[in-house]
Amino acid sequence: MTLGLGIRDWGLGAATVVAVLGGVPHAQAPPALDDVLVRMRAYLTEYVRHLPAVIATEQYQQRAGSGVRALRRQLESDYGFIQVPGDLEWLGFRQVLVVDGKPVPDSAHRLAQLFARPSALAIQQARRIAEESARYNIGPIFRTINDPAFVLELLDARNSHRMRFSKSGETAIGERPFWIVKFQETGRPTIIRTRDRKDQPAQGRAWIEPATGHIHRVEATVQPGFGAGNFLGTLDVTFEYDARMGFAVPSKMLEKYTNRNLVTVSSGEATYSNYRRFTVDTEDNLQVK
Amino acid sequence: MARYRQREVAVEGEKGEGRGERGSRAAMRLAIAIAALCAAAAVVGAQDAQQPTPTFRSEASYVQLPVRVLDARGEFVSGLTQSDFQLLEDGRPQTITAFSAVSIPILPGDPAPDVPLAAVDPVASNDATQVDGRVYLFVLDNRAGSDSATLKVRQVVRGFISDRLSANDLAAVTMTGAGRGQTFTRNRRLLRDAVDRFISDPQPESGVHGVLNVIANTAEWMGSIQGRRKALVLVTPGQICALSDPECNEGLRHALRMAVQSDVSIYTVDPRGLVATQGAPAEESDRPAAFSPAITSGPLDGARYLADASGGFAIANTNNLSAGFERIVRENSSYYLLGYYSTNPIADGRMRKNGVTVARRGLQVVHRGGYVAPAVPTSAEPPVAASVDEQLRRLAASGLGLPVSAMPLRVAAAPFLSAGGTSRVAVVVEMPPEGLRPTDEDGRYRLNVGLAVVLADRDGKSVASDEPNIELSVPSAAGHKIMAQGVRLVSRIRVPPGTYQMWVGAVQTPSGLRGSVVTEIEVPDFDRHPLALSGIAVTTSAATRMYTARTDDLLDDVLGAPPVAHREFAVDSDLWIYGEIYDHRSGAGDVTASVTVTSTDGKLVYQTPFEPAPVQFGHLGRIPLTELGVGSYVATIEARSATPEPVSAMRTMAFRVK
Repeated sequence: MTLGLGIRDWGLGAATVVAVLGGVPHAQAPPALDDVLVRMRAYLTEYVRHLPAVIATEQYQQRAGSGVRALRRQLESDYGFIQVPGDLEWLGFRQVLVVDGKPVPDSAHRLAQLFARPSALAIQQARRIAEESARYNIGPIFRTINDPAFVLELLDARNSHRMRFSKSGETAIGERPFWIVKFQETGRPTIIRTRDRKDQPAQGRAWIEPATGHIHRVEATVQPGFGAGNFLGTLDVTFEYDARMGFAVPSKMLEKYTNRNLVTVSSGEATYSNYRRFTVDTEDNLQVK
Repeated sequence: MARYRQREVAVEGEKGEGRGERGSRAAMRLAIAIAALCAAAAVVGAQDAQQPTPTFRSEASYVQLPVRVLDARGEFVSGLTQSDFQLLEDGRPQTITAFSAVSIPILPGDPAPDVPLAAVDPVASNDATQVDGRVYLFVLDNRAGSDSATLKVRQVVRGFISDRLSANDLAAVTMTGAGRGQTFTRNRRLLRDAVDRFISDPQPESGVHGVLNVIANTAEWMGSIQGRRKALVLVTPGQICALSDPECNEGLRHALRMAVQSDVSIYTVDPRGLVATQGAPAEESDRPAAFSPAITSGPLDGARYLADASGGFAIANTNNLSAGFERIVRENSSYYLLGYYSTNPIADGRMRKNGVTVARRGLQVVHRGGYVAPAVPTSAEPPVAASVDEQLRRLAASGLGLPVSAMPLRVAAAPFLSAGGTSRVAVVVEMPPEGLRPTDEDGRYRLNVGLAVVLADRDGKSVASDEPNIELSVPSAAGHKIMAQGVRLVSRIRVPPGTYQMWVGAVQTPSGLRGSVVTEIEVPDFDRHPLALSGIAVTTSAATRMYTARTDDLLDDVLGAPPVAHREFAVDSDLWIYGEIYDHRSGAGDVTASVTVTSTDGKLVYQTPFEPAPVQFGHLGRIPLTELGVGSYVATIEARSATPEPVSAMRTMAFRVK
């Protein structure tokens, strides 16, 4: 499938973003869930417009196994994500630069170079880099969901028909009120599938500011099936406002995979800093596979 | 057309290659009469680094004789060598083929803290070869006859336990009739608890024969403790029976044969002290005689006969029991152990006299007078053709719960909180390689072991059981590796809270080799404690070397390897301890948990947090054994909280590093 897509620096100032996205409406009656969801989707649309492609420095600590088989790994990576216009997916790329304190040979910041000179080939090359970097993951779970872009994909407007939403509570973060909105994937086939093509429906909760649709946190779980080899995967991503980006960006990601004995067989914690913005030029055509 | 990338999740590979659950027989509800008698199951003992472990062969014609050499003041003479001794049997010189000077130190402190049963690591083995201290088995004769006599028995035995047991000693308690005993342990509290369960049973169904059978069976089993003189302390208020009684005579000779073959010295203790009139203690002489006649000094007394002929002595008709106890300890602390093959090969079951002299002048040699030659076996083993179930039933019913050691077994158990008011008890059963008898035909090793794991209540009634089969058929090369390390199986049994006797039996086919182990376990009511600690499961990185026919997935996941039953670990390995903390308090303060390790002298040698494991309630502690070094230790796992009220929960585990 061919998509018109390119990357360039948008050069938007922080003040502009705040003006567009940060405005708080006048006090009024509590909004309906649908209204909040509309705002959330609008927020994500703006997200794409303002931050179509970013790269951050990721510090990622992974733990796998337990007891005798316990493993730990510290990864330092370039992590970039991009939302491809016209496509349903948010793409996350990870290039591991340092493993347990030791630099990975030939690990120049190739991801940044590719984002700086985007092309169809660049996205494909970014994929290959990410696949190479995946080999540094530890634990028995093979997954491609351990990136913050995944939770945005679940909530994206283009997946709204696959999801059922319900309000489960309210809370305050700082002084700002947030709704806790549950979501459950009902469409088939599901976004996540096992290697043998079995559906793995996702569900979770999102902390959404009702007045603006801003997303503070998303906790997504992948429902396990029954039988040996199944597990419960949980991804918990927190977003924080980044002054340089002028937008709320992923600041922390927690992941956990629990087997049928409710034992966590793999877990990780990643933090993100040093965000750099890239832009998308839709005049170029990129082949995304 | 809209498309999306298919994100993937999958478990890479199949974990636990080479293991899997084997078939389990249909529920075989064994009506196992595990009697209260449970004089078995050795606890891990520490090998004294300075004390070489003598190796003695166990054959029909082989005789082992403990010998004490005393000087003119009655002090033990050390430093003698094999060439100093001359040994005779029925007047004929014998060649000493094994010699060892045994000197067991009396250690202060208590390596196994006086903790209740609920805090004890329930491990057991029928392979009781790892003992470094003295070994005492108290046999309490239930035919005491009155409440005062019962109290006297308790008082006397409690006194020995409190005052005479050294930190490196092992002791067990058993009754000749009703009452639940205590398997071998170093835990004095458990021993005292067992003594306090002793009750009078003046008319036991089995009578004198029952008493003698218990002595014979326990003495026979104690033979599996090698390289040590063992003390069977028979506490009986009065005579057992008279030698002049032909039936009694036969039973006595059988008991003596078992004792002598097993290097067991019998010490008979009349707890009543001085007896003023026949059958009544001095302090009760105004009461009607309610006891059997006192142990006499005459040759016709069965109790004295057993004591004298087995190399022990009788403590009777004296109020100074303490002096006798001190002598028991002394005699079991320093001695020479002589072994020889008798030049008389005839299995006639007759008494043979031993004589021992030393080449030095002025020394007194003390030893038992002789031994009873083996007799031609009259009873055959159960036919191998019997089904495994049937053999297990026979095994369970035989020996009144005594272990059968032909096939070595090691067992450890750990209770965990479960749903529905029950607990889940993980029972680890290990079969060391020396007891496995696989067939090797057509290039394949085949092993078939029928197992029964039974938790029985205090009345010996089975409450829950698991009866798995291990059916192994592998190429010879793989089988050879498996048989070199042994086989392990983890059973999971649900029971309500309570105190149980755990019986594990195994029967191999076609060899018919059998083994059994019995021990006690307390399954706490975790819900009733504000803060509770589960049982503990342990493993090391070496655990995977032993083939695990069936494991507990959860324990395997959190420990990273199958749980083990053995409590002896290689010094270059790491020990991992898993337990669960159940905090039922609401709004209470934080719980801190730790693992502390102490050496046999009570010194703190290692401490580490008991950190949360990746499962609900679970905690893990790691002990790098290189930091401990070779020796014997006790790990104490404790969870505690200071607010709002101080609460704590504790478990202990004795282990050895080699």
